[in-house]
Amino acid sequence: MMKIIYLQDEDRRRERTNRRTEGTSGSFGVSSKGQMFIIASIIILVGLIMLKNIIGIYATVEEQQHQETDIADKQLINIKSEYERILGLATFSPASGLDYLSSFSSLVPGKKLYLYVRINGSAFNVTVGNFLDDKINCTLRATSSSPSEYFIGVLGSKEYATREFQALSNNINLTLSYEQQGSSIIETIPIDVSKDFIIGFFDIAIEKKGMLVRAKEIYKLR
Amino acid sequence: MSKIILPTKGMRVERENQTKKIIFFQDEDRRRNLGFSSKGYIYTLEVMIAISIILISAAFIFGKPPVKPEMELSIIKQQGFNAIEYLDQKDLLRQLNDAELENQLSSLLSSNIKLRVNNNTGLPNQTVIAVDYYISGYKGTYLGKRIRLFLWEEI
Repeated sequence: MMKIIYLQDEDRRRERTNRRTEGTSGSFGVSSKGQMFIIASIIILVGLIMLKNIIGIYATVEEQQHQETDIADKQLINIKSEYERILGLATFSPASGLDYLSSFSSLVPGKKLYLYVRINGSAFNVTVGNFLDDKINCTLRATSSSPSEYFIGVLGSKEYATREFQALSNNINLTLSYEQQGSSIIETIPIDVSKDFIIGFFDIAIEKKGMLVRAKEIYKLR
Repeated sequence: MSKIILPTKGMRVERENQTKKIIFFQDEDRRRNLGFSSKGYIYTLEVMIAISIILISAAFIFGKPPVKPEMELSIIKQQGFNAIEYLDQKDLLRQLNDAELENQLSSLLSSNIKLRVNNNTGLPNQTVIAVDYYISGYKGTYLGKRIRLFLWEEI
């Protein structure tokens, strides 16, 4: 008996595959294992592209932030040194120091808070200057002094207030307590009324492109 | 009874009788009969294609030099600030007027960087960087002023 089989190309391959590989089959009769390598290579390729883009952006942003922070830091040093110079100018006219500090604080950028202490014998005057762009609720306290405490209350932005103390001993601890937006901050300055003449405390913060640089400094002139 | 039909294109003839089977093979079948298998060949070929895709793509992706980031503006700003700081340390910054300051600063900065002090009129139509430096006083006199330096790169 004779059997006639008409086979097209696909049929030929299918028949060969069936004879060749038992139990495994693809659409056209070839193994699908090798195709997984091609799919994996495409996934790896996509991962490489994404990785290259992410690494490049991150490095550039970090470097720019570093540069901007460096410049902000230099500017902070500039402002601090100029405040110290103002204290030096105030030695010629201590009362004028109030105007100099207020005027300069309005000129420079950033948020500033200062304490300006002028000592005259056993009496000393303390001025609190608020340039924090926000109102504060502040209290002044001094050990071994009379009175020992002054409640200044609310001090608005770009305002300053002065109180006078009488020193009962040479060494005094002056404390400024203030509240800003719910948080309490305390700053303490040691004073020697027998030696110090003018004392300045400065809290300066400059913000540049989301980065904040801040410094606190005490200057004493004797 | 047996019957023979001559094979044509796409047709394979099997002729069977009780004792003998004659099978005509095409090229692939002939090779199979001679011991060749295409199974490993195709598998290897696909792996080689996958490796080639990765290598060629990696060569294209990482072959180009990295694009230079826009750092020039920050660097120019830093150079300007350093120049002003230097003049302040030399005690020149507070004595000189704006024109003299421009001459001094120009000599400190690169020749391709142009500048102007405290004067923002007639600036070029491109990115201009401003650097601020503050002065409180000089020799017992309160000044309370800002020196603003405008910098740009000459194209």
